[in-house]
Amino acid sequence: MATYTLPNGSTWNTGLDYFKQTDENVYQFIKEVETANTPVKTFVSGANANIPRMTQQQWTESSYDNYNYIRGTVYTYDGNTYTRKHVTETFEIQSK
Amino acid sequence: MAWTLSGDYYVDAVAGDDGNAGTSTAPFKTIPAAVAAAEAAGSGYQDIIVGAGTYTDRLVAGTTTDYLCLKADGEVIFDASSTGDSAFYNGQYWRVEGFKIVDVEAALQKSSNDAYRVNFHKCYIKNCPDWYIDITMVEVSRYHDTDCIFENCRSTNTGTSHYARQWSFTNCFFIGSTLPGYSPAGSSLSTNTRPHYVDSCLFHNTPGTGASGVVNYYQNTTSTMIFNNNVFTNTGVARYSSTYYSGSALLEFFENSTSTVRKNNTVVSASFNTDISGSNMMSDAMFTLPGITSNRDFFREYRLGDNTRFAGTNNMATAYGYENIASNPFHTAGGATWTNITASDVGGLQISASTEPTGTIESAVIDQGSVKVIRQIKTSFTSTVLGATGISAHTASVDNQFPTRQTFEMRFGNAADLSSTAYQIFDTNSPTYVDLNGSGSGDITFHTSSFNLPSARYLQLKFTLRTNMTGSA
Repeated sequence: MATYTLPNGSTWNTGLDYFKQTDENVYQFIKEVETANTPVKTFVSGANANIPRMTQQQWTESSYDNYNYIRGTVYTYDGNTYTRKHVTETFEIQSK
Repeated sequence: MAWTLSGDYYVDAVAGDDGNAGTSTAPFKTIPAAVAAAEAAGSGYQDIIVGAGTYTDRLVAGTTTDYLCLKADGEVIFDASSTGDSAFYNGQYWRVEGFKIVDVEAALQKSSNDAYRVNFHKCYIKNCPDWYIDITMVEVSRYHDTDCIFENCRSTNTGTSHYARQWSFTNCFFIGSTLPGYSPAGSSLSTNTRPHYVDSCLFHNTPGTGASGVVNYYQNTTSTMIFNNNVFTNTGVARYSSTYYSGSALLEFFENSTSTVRKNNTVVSASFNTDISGSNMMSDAMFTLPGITSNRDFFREYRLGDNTRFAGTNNMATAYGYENIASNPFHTAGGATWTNITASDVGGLQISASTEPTGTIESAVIDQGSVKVIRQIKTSFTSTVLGATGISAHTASVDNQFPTRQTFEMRFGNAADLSSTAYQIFDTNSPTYVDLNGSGSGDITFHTSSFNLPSARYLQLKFTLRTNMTGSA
């Protein structure tokens, strides 16, 4: 477990689940990452050949000196349907 | 499906196919397919028209920037009992209109950020154990729900901090429900300078003292809550710190506002049949009554001014539907006696045989819980068959003609046994005026200064149909 001070001054605790962070201001920073960056999306085919299914999207904030901040969402589906049954939220801090 | 609304994508649970293009003539079968198509098409405002039917898929937004509006075209039921998690996930700019969302498995919403909430409009949401499950800011949200009915919707989610802020409800019914926000052990929630706003809502039958998750509502002295133009029935409960308020104490609570803004809230004496989901009476009334464009109009009829103690000229009504269920005193399952009356073969009610001159429905004794003024008996008989009347004589009767003669009678008192009390005839949809001889009558010239409205705790009503005009009443 480690803690990082994010650029907005909040504290991210790697030992806690995405939804269980004790410093609520981390979500404000995460939102800023999402807003300021275009997500890279990954798709697979589904029941309709014309409609891809998004399995992952990832926002990378690389404008800060020491770290890249990577926000991600992973979707899982029931069979080849479009029902996003499970969603996994991630936030990763990478040293440059 | 004959669509009455137009949009960018269409969903038909019955005849649709997710392999289709999602047009009105080739709709999708599931809502998630339409959501995926809309998201793939890019950002912007897009309408997804959802046809009548039952849907069970969890609805997850894949983006946080798309303006999607899910509009029910017909009776759309979202059975959220097996979504595996929240019914909705994210959906910052989503708006859901006209859905009936029932039996929510875990929570109505969950989101990866406090701002990513779905907004509901004219939705009926019943049996929802929690408003949200998500981040440690237990009840934080930013959205505005309008013209909705929330029945048995609770807030029990706890966490390390407790916030209730930045959400709004306007023109909503809360039946047996709490507002978002739950704080155990009587500690207060904080709006943290970002207030929530509750306007023109009705609160009925809130869980009450000692019940888990009672809110409706309280906050600490440093936060702000704007609570205007709301109606509490006498079974409504507010909580401030660890103290519960109901009835006259609730009114005092509103009148002696401290840090919060509470204006024009009213406590009324009223009763409801809270099992309205089968009949849809309340929702149908909200959505279809002519001249009522919103719940705001509806509520205006019940307001007299600042924190009035009087219920107004029109009390909230006890509403019963057509379902033959135990909670409906007008049906046999609820204890009523039907004599020579049956459901019509053309819809509505009719005398059961061509040879019977009359038929009656005698309701079960209705316990209002306390003595209340009976201001009016409102009736509405409708047929589900196009072009058919709600009440008709038997089709084989020689007197078969329209309209069929009908009589409404009521007996009342403060003892549960009304069997020795005489029925009195009252007109429907007029004040239940009792004259100087103690006889009931409908009187279109009645005015409230007469003060001779009947009052009672127990009611029993009898409805008589006649095939001709030879009867005595």
